[in-house]
Amino acid sequence: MSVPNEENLSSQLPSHFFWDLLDSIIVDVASECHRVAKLGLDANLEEDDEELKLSAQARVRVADPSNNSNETNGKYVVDLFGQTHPTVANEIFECMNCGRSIAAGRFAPHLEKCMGKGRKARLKVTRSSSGAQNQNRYSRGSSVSTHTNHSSNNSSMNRLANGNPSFAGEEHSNGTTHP
Amino acid sequence: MAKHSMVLPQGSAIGNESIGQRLIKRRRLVSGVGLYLNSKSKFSFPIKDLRGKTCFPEGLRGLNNLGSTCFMNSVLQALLHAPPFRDYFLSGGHSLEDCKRRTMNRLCLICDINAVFSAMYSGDRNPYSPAQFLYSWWQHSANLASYEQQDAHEFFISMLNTIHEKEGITRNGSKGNGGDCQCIAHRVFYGLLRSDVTCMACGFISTTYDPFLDISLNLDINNSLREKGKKVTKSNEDDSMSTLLGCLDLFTRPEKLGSDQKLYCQKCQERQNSLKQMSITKLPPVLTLHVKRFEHSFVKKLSRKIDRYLQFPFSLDMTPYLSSSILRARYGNRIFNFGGNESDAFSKFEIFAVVTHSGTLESGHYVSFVRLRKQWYRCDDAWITEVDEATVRASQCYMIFYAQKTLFNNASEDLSHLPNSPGREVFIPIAGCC
Repeated sequence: MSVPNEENLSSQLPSHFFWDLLDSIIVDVASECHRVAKLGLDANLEEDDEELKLSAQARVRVADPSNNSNETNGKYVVDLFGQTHPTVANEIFECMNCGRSIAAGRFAPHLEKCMGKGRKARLKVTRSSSGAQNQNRYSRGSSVSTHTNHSSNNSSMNRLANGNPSFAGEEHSNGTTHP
Repeated sequence: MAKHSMVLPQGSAIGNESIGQRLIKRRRLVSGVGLYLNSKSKFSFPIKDLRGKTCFPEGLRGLNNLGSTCFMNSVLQALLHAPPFRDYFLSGGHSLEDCKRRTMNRLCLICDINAVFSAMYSGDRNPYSPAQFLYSWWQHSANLASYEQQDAHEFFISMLNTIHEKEGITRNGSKGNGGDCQCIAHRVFYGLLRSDVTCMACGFISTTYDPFLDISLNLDINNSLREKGKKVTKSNEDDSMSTLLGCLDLFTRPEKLGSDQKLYCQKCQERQNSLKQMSITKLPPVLTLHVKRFEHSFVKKLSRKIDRYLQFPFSLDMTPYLSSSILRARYGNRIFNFGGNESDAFSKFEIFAVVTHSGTLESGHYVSFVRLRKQWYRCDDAWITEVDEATVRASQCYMIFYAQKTLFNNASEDLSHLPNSPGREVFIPIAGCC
């Protein structure tokens, strides 16, 4: 009877020691965390809980349709200053490139053609040059960037936003000087 | 827009009234004064609207959408209200007369940013069209110059990089690197990241430092689910909420690099499996956190947007993510630093702006929320409205802007203390630790 016991014991000893060590480690960390929480030593713990609670409450409140006042479904009536604005901004000013009068809401598309930039303008001009330039731009035509270079958390300062070769030299791309 | 010199009563006391009630009060007061122009009017009124001075915070003004430019407007609104950045421009940090580029008749993006600040803080409450700025930015970033929806984060990086490139030269004489450059982009936004790569064969740790303009965070979805031991299925996504602190934990967690990413170990003299851990050595006065809301499937070659809600706090303590804390934890010392040394003050941040996105990758809309004098405002292109905290907390954040708490304690909400003399150096504390 003693022989089987000894065998059992020696095979159990390593695992016995292991679980003992593991228990010690767990109790060590747990008792420290418990002490900090019980004595309120970490001010952040309560603050973090408070923030989580506030966010949860906020989501409930916002989901409730009876709480929406001014901006229901994104349709504004008046803004903070009592003003109202059209969907397409109608302030008129002069284009600084060509001098034409443009409505604010249509300024960007106008400027794109005016400066000779942009997809369509570039396609006309640079069809013969490298297609790689145009390819990069198609993949970027969206509200949220899909570029993997954003996954790198080390932003080197020389990095241009989407890795295209720098055009920094052409400040006067069409020969106009800035007044 | 008809202006009038009637002074509205102090409406900024936020009592128990709802937003709707306050708006009704305001409308009753102004309704008698023909406020709405017909669309044919093109007047620009030189008379300052006194309402601006008494009721509303300075710098609060709508930005006209010039054609899919909400990505630009939303970031501009946040930058317009970043305390040290705003103070620099409003106190004449970049004066038009002294600008070298201007005198040489060359374009200067920073002069144009200065112009935007002047216009936005002029007291005029009509929406402003940042056309000159757009033109200038397109001149400097030709690769992004196009009429299409773009990424706000990309614009943010592009703008600050351009400031550095232009300003970095004139200030130092030579292009400084991350630690030395004193351009306003660096002084306000740049921090220092530390990367520790541990060789899993010999234990040798190689440390590198890199400057950062902002921190891009992956959402902490899979991790919170894996902890529960469940498989990642759609039904489980709602069980645990993603939090900003969770994302920061993920960011500073030791990451086992795959066997296809073996890094060269100096001691072993060969490539080995490695463990990489990030931490923050130096925190900037303005901390910008970018949430990566897109996932790319290499199999399907598709990208899609992740609309998952991310909880974010208004008060943020970055201490656990500092290099000093990470190192301490790595070596088993879990005792908290109750003493509270100097660097603590520079680790506590307060939120002041959020850029939110709604829609898909291909088509969507950006809206900013900014907090002025403890009141939140929604900036949706030309539309500025008051919102309550809950709206902001429940929004889908894309970029979150925090500023060091110490910057708010300096009565920076009241801008009357800023002198108009140029060349005044604004003191910006830079946290240094570890």
